Amino acid sequence: MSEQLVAVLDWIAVLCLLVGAALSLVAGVGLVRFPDLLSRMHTAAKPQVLGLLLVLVGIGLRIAPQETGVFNTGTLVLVGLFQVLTVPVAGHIASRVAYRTGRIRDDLLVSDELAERIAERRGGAPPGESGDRQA
Amino acid sequence: MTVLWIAIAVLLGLAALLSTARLMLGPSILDRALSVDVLVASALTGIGAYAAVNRDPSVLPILLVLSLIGFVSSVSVSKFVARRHLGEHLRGSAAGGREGPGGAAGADGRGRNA
Repeated sequence: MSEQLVAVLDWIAVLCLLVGAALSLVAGVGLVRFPDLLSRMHTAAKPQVLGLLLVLVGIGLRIAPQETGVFNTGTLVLVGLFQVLTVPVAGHIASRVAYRTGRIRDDLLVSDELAERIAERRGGAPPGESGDRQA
Repeated sequence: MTVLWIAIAVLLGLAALLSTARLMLGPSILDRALSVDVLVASALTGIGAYAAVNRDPSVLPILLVLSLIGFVSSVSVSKFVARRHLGEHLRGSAAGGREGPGGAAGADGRGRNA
């Protein structure tokens, strides 16, 4: 590859890495500032994954001129794929456990459709009066 | 360009520091599991930045392993919390109903796991 092309790729890679690191910082700030578990889960799931994907793109652009082979690119794609697949699953399981064990703040919820659904399943008891959330 | 690499390192260090702060503040074990997850993702990003700076592809398998370990750890902590809560719930209902619903349960859950 020509020198100019490598320089352009390097600048794009640095830009991707910079934006990715900034998004990681956003995730950290949200983790400290947000009030309860569900909103923290939002910041841990979305900006973190986007930042990591941008960093992976940056690594690919930095490595591509030097190492030509499918192995490195394949590893990067696999890491991105695993993140995109596993982070929503982990967030879903953690938020489900938090809801069922009562570790979320009800006063911050705008709407709670799961409580209505659980009440329906239990036979019409209003959500505030069911004994617990082990439905 | 060196300035930009240093800026990337500083941003990642700050992110790791903030998630460590949440790890220490708590208040419940699920918050801590979540912050460990973010910490692992920051480590992934940092190792990736190292690979990009040095054009060194030999650390890429570490990224693969770390991403899977983060998933397994957060899911197993969640399952542990659910099972322990179920045990407490069974004991509590045997003793005649211990826990109030709704917001009271939320406050109770946070206090119990501080």
